[in-house]
Amino acid sequence: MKEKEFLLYIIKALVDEPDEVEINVVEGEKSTIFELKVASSDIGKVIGKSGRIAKAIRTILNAAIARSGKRISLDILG
Amino acid sequence: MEIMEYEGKTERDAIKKAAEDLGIESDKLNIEVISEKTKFFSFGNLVKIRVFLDEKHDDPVKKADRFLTGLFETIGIDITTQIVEDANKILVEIISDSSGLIIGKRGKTLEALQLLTNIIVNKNEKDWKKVVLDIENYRDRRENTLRELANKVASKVKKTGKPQLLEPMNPFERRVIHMTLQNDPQVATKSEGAGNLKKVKVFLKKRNNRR
Repeated sequence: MKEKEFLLYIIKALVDEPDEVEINVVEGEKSTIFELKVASSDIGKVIGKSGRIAKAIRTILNAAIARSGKRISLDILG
Repeated sequence: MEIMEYEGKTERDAIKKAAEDLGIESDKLNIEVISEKTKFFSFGNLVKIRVFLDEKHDDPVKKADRFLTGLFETIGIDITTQIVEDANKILVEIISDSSGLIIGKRGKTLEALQLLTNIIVNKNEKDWKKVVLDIENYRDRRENTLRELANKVASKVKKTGKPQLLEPMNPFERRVIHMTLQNDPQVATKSEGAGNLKKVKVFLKKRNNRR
């Protein structure tokens, strides 16, 4: 799935432990859920101050998937 | 650490190639010569060098280009970049057929992309280098739109006497509104709210009872 690769690419660029990044995609009819797992030391790097980075990731992931007309949800698992 | 290999007719030639390709000055490269030119049978023999790349020494322009190009490759969007670097800023002009998608509604996607590119380019760097992304002159066009909006709202305030509150804007956008109206004798501007996105209020200046 292209959007998973897209998300994986961003997360791997942000974190210090790219080998520990895992993404699980749950596809529904109207929405797609991306469950993201990173090393515990990297959680701050994907969330950011007051969630700024997580928000930016959601925004561009939404743009990437917009063509399919689906909604996305990005869950960061601790 | 990343390792790259380069070849050249001479050692100097190979180093020059590496420096150009990586965008790093040749004296800052960490190099090991693998195959040296033999003195007598040197015809057609190339010198091979190995360059050890520390992420810290990686050129920010290369990093920005690599991140953006690689990112859009994953979803099959072709982009090219034109990058200008000055003392503390990198200006990246993105060229693509999918500019609408990359800009997003009111520039939301472009802003998000800019934030992420800034973080990734400056990761592990001592000095923060600001990355500014632009596409099809979006920033200039947005600035013009905002100036027009500021003037339109100002005349409405003058006509009705009632203050107007604009939609939430980022610091760059608010600055354009403030600057456009700063010399207007009749109206004043003020940002309201908290966080990155604030609303600008445009209101009549009080003429008689100034504090």
